[in-house]
Amino acid sequence: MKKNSFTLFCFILAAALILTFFLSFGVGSYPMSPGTVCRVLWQGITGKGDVPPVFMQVVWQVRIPRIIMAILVGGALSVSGTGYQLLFQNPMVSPDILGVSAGAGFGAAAAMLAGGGLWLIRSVSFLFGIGAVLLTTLIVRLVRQRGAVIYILAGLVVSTFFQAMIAVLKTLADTDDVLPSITFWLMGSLGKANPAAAGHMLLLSVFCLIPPFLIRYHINVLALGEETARTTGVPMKRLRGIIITSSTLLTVGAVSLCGIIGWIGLIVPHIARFFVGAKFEHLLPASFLAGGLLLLIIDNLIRMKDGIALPVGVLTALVGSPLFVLIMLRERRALA
Amino acid sequence: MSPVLDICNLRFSYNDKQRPVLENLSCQIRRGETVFILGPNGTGKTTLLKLLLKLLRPESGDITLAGKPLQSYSEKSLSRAMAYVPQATEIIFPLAAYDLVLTGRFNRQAIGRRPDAAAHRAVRETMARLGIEHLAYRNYNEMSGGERQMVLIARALTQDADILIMDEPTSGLDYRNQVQILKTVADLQTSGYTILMTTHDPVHCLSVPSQVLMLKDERLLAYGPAREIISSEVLTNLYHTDILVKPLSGRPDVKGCRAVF
Repeated sequence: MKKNSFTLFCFILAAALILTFFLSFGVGSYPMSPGTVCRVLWQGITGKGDVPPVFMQVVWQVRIPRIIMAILVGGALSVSGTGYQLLFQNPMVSPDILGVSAGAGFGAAAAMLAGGGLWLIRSVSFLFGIGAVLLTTLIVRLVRQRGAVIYILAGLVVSTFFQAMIAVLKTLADTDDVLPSITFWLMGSLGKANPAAAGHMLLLSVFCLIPPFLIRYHINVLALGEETARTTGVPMKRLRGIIITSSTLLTVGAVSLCGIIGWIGLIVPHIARFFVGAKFEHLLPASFLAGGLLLLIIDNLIRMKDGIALPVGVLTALVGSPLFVLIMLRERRALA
Repeated sequence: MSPVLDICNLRFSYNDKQRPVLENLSCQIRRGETVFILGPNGTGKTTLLKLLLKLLRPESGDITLAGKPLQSYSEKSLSRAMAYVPQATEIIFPLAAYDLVLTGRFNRQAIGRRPDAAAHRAVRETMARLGIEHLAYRNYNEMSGGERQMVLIARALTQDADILIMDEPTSGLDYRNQVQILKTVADLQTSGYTILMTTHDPVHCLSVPSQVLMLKDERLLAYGPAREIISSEVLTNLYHTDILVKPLSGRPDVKGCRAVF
């Protein structure tokens, strides 16, 4: 029972997240001193002050949505990865295991090819992400086996199919205009975050985090393995449905709004587990806070590089891969 | 006394319907009995346990639990009648022993509610009863095989079921740990538990007053009191190898090998 380490870890994360949250306002191609940021925030809340409108615009319309989006998307992907890893009893599982990202990517690429605007791209991407997971569960039903391996294999098949379809769309796309847009979108970016998108992600996060929170104790029976868990009297079918639905919606929401951001959902659950242990009631908040903080820091690094719009998915992979090697070294026994 | 478990003409096969794993299996298990299931590898011992736990569905035949068809039991009501002790292998995301034992109470805990004081009391009492309180905060994967098995037994006991289904609980354990597990089984039998347990060691069947259920070539080879069934001929037939059973002499209470430990 790592209760003390859980409280300490979450306290440190929450403090770091609050600090990074406020420091993030000053980061970007339009530098601002902490004093200016405070005046902008004060004027935004109270309506009193004489800050130039451009500062108000930058902070309230661009940076706050982007910062909130980074925290929510990082948290959502991490919680999703935590849920899937526990459900499938597999430390190598990430949120796109059931084909969500590939499906959403295909939807976005198709909408771009059709000349759709930002909201059409996001909507189609969302629908195809959901569709991909439904296709995966349909395959599982056809096979008539509900084991974790069947889900993983079906997800792999669906992912491969949609990745191939994305490749087809890329060959059809205009190389000067649409192809770079598709490629950039697939690498993930928080650059198009706006107040409406951040609001949608906030609503989705609240809606999708409540069910896993409610089953945070009972879902621990999965530690015994799926078969034994089914003998404990806990309604496994319902619990599995809750984890799959919540994790899928969180992932598809994040991917449709920000593109494919890899690694966060794979490594953050391991980091959280290392500090707070494997109890889901501890992992859930720890993963959310750690994922939110990590993506916010990574996005800040991107925004510090003036003039270079490095996709966030690229940097998460660059940061994530060595981190994962470290985790593998520390947890080599569990991964064996 | 009416049987607590009544198995009638059970048949089960996995993929090839022509090659059943179990066929025409019938037996009755009474409350408070300990039944050791013996048989070579692949004769359907674990499959039988899975059928009793409703993890598999029989192709034909009936299983009746306390007078009611097994299929009429919900997951929750079955978990209050029967608890499963799996083999003590490593788990992927290990919990501390205390947290693992606590999962045994989740069949009495409404979804969304944290485990109450009664659940924690049950965990502490069960761990104390088995003498494993000192393991409470140890990581499951960092324990020895014997310690893990005791934790899994404690988890099953907190489920508060009268029937324990144990899948090779002595598998991979050294002799001392095997003896400890069998002593625990004997204690549980004295407390009134009905126990079904698979094993590869016929000597285990003689360690406590028990019934033995022998499976061979998909069928029931023999079923009855261990001290009457276990013999050189039966074991030789069961395992296709020469086995000599010699009763211990000079011990008045010895019937079979009661004095093994």
